[in-house]
Amino acid sequence: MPVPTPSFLVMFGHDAPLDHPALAGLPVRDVTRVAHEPLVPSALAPLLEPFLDPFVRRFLFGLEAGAFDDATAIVIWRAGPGALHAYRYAAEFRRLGLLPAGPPLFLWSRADSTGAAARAFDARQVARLTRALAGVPRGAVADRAGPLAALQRKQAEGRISGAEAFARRLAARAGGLTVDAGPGTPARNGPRLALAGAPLGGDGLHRWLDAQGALVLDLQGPDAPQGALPDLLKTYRIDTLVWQVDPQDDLHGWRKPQVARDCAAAGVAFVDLGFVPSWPTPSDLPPSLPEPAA
Amino acid sequence: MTPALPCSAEAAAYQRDWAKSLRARLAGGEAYAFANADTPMEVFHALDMPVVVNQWWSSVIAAKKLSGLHLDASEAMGFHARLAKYSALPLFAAMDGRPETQPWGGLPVPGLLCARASADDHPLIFAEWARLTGAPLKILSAPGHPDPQPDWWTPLRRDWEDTVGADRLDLMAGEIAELTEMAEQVAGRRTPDGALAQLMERIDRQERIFEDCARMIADAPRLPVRISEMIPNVMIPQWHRGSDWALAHAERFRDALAAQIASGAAVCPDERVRMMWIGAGLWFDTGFYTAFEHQGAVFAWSMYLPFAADGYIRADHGDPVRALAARVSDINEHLHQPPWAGAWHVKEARANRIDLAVIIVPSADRPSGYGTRFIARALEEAGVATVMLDADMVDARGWDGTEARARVQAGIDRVTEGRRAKGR
Repeated sequence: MPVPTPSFLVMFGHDAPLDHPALAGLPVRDVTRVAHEPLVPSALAPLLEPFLDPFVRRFLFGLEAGAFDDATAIVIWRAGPGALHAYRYAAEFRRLGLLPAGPPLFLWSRADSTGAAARAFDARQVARLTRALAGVPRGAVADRAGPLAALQRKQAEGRISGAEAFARRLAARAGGLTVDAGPGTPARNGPRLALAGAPLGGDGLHRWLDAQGALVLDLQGPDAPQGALPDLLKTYRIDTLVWQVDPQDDLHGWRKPQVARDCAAAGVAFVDLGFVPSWPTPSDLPPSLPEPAA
Repeated sequence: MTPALPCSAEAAAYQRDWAKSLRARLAGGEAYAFANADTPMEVFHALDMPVVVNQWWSSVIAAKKLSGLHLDASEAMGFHARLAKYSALPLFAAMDGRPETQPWGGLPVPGLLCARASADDHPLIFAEWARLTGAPLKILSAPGHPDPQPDWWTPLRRDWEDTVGADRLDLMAGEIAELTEMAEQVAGRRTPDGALAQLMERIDRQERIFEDCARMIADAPRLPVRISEMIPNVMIPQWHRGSDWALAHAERFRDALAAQIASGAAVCPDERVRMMWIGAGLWFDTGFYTAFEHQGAVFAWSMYLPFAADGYIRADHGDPVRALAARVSDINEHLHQPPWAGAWHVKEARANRIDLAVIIVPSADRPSGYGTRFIARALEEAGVATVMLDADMVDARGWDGTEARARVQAGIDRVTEGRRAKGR
């Protein structure tokens, strides 16, 4: 007899709030940064603009490959950059018959304002989501925050490399697990580095940074420490902040001048790597960390 | 050769006078709103608060050939070259700040800023504006429609409660109320009782006139006016929608069109290929739209005129704020996102007997760039040939007019060869 696949939800959208009470006890797999390659041939690929957000593109390829077919539902966190188009494109591919029917898609929106209307809207969205997920069995509520904080402390103290810490965070989100905060490969001695800019899906840049210093603060997420940048730079005693955006970025680049100003004010070197693909390879990176901008 | 409509010069003159008076009001210290085009600017009109529309100001900067200077400067400031341009050019000009490099010598500091979060980057662009100017900022939410239906334009006119959805309407109506309160505080006065309801009623009337105009153009045996004339005759009144002048101008445009059509005037007496331009205007090279007329190929359609009816007419059912919320909730999304945009452009292509659709694909302007391949697919399936042009509406730096003309020419050739093959 086949073993039944346990129920789980798929979540797509950067910074989706996995700790939201509406998701408490639910097995949620955040696939936002999981890479899926296109089928050959792909019915979807010709309809995707070359400048489409790289995470949206790979999510759609995952749908086409049937990677989420065992999920009870696919929840798309609208506030995540590009997420609305992930939902629109996925729904349209199904409507056009280019994708078979699969788990139901649920768009989870959130208001951008803070008044009474926004609070009411957000509450109704949560109620809708809760109703939609009523059939999914809930288990014990896992403590995500504790292990994440422990891992962050380890990274800040140089007791785990940037690439390993990043991989553990990704694995925890993608697997619906708490993060592994156990011992890791220590970071090398060197300048204390922070990484910021657009989200990354692969650890190529992390490995490259690990070879040049201690990556102690990974602000491109997921589950990055929260707080104002000047405070974080001080708390984590950052020497150099490394900035990058993916070649299709239309969003994070707006923050760069302010980040550079914050670094200058804090006496932190700011290094801009420019455009770096979301899944970087060694050929996408310079031989060594460039000199900070004047 | 068709004569220019007299009302076209009148519209341009009105806009010049309005701009002059606006400039004087702003120079006199009157608070004004700086807002994105997809925001409920009826709030400001009802309050008689001046409003400068971000994308309009962007087109003014581009038309004065100043966009290259400001976009180059933005990159020197650290903003990379693939960020939005159409929606960001006014910000970059303001950051430059030099009077000699800006229309009107530059805008004074706005009284308030307003954008919808209809694109991921709009809140960040406007946050930069707020940081630069210290002006209060209102970001309106843009929650996605969970179940969009292709044929949105008919139900939205009356049955918008179900079509938009009560939750999203409640949110937008609440945020419009908050925006109104903010605008009143900045202006130092209250919106007169009934002003919004009257304005909404007049806007509905205006858009129905534009609907007549669009139908007349579509039904005419040959194109009676160029899109370069349609656009100012519809968009200048749209910026002033619901005003006495706008309503009267819409009527003048309709009457002038009727006379033009009755006289048999046509842009191309030997009209052979009818084209539609999909997307915002190519503001720095408007001559592109007439470049193929010598061979009987005309741009017969752009979105601005037909969208006045489909995008704006909303029965108010006694609640003008909610009707305004219904208008604004997906206003830009209807033009670009699947399944809305494909279905609407197919409807319009059929009504206007379009042979070839030319689609602008601005890679740095995601709300407009995304969804273009779905639009092309829908049109091709409906029997309309398509040409995609990678271009930005205001950034001439990467524009290769020769290459673009060659691509459109190839499209025209495909249409004519296809006809020949069918013996037509």
